[in-house]
Amino acid sequence: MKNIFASLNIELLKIYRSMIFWITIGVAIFFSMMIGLMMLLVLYPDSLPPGILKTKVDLAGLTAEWPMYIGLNEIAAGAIGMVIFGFIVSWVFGREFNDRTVKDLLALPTSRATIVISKLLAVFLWCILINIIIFTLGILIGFAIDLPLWSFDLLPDFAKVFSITTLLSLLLCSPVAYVASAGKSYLPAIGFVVLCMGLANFFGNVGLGAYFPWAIPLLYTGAVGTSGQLPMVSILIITGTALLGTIGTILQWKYADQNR
Amino acid sequence: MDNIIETNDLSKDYGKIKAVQSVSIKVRKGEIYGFLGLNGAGKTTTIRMILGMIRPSKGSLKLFGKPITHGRQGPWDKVGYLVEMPYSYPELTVRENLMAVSRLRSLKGQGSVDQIISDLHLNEYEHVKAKTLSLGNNQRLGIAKALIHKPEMLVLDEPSNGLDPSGIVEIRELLRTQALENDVTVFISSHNLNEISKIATRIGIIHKGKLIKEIDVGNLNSALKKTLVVGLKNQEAASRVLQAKGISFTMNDDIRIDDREAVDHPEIINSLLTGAGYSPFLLIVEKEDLETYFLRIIEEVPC
Repeated sequence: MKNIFASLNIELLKIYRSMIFWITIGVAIFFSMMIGLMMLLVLYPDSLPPGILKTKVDLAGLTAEWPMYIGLNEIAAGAIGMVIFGFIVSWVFGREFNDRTVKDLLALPTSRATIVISKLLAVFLWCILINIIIFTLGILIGFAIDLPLWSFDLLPDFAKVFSITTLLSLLLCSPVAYVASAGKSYLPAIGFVVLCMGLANFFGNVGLGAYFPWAIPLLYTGAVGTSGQLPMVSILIITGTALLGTIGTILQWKYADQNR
Repeated sequence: MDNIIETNDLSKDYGKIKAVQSVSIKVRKGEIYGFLGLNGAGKTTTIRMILGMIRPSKGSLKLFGKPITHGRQGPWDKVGYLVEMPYSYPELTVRENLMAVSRLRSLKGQGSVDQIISDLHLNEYEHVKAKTLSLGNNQRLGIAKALIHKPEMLVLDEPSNGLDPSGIVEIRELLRTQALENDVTVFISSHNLNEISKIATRIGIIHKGKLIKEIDVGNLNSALKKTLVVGLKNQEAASRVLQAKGISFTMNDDIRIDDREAVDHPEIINSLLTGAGYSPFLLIVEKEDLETYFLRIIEEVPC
C-alpha cells in the first residue's frame, strides 16, 4: 500500500510537470466556454447578423434556459470527457514506451501491478479534475450569462448525472491503457479511442448502444439515443470491460516481453 | 552462494531469429564481468533476460542463488541497472528523476539522492530538467539511478556511451571502487574491448547470440597474437631466404612473421638475413591490439 502511494505520488508529479496536463485543462475550459457561448447566442439571437451561424443557431432547436444548458453540459461530460479521458490514459501509459522510460519501472522492488494501478489512479484523479472544471465552469458561466429558469432543485440531478457520466467514462480508461501498453506507444491507443467513439455513435444510432461499452455513457447522457436509466446489462458490460482492461494491462506489464 | 549471476542454456528466439543461443554464464561475487560483443550480438537481449524484462525461450537463470521467473518479483532491491541508452522523464529535473527512483525503491529521506548527486558530480545540474541535459550528463543520471540504492549487483549496458574521455575514466574508477570496496558484482556490456579490459576481471565474448569465449583479464595479455615485423630494402630476395628455411610469412610494405619461435627469438631471423646479405633496417615485435584480438576471435567462429 505504501508503495502505491509512493508510485502514485510520482505519477502525479510527472502529470503536473507535463505540458499535456495544462493542455487538457485548457481544452476543458474551452469546451465549457463554447457551450456558454452557444447559450449566449440562443439567448440573444438578434445580436447575430443574418448568415450561416444565425441559421445554425435557429435550426439547433435550443432554448436558452438552465435545464437545456445543463443537458448540454451533461452531454459534454460524456462525449468530450470520454475523448479527453482517452487521450489522458493513452499518454500516461504510452509515454513510458515512447520516451523509453518504461525499462526503469520493470526491475524494481515496487511491483509492476502496483505501477499499473497507481497509473490508473493518477488517470482517475486527472480526469475527475477535468470534469470538476467542466461542471464548475458550467455553473459559473450559466450565472454569468444570466440564463433564466435557475432553481437549486436542478443542482442535485445535474451533479448526479455528471458524476455517473464521469464514472462510466472512467471505467473505459483501462482498455485504452491496455492498448497503449500492448501497442507500446500512445498512438495505437489514441487510434483506438477514435475508433471506439465512431463505433459508439454508430451503435447508439442503430439502437444497440446499450451493448457497446463506449456508447453506454453517451446513451446515459442522451448524446446518442434517448437518455435515461441504464439497463443492468449495460452496467455489467461496462464493468466487465473495465475489469478486463485492468487485468489485461497488469498481465501485459507483468508477462509480455519488454523490448523498449 | 558463490555465483551472483548464473545462467544456464539461456536462449531467446524471435520467430526464426535466434537472438541468444544457449548462453551459460557464472558471475562470482565481487567480480566485474565484461560482456563483449558487436552491435546486435545479443548483449542487450541477455541483459534484459537477466533483469526479467524478457522471457527466455529456453534455459534458466538465477540471481543471488534464487531462480528468476519472468513476471515474478526478483531480488530487485539488490540490483541496479542501466539498459541501453539512458532515458529519464524529460519534464522532471535531475533531482526529481532521482527522487522518483528513490521512492520506487522505498529509500527513506533525501539522503540517498543528495549522496548520489554528489558522487556523480551532478550538483550543477540537479535543478535542470532532464530534457536539456547533454548525452553525457544523461548517461551520468542513468548511472546515478542505478547506484542510488547502493546495490549488491550492477547490470550496465554500455555505460560509457556518450561520455567524454574524462567521464569514461571517472565511471571506470567509480565502478572499480564499487567492486573493490563495496564488494559489488558488476555485469557490464560493451563493444569496446580496450575499454572493458581496463575494468573487467573476466570477459565473455558473445557473437551472433553465442557465448564464444570467456577469458580472465589476467590471461588476456598472453592471448594476444605477436608478429615479428621485418623491414628490408630487398624484400623479394630476403623472402626467398625465409622460404628456403621453411618460415611462413606475409609480405606487403614489410615482412610479417607469426611463427612463435621467430617472435620469441628475433635475433635468429636477424642473423639469418644478415648472413645472407640482407640486413634488416627494422626488426620489431608487434603485439596485437585488443580490438584486433576481438575481431580475430569473432572471425574465427564458424557461423
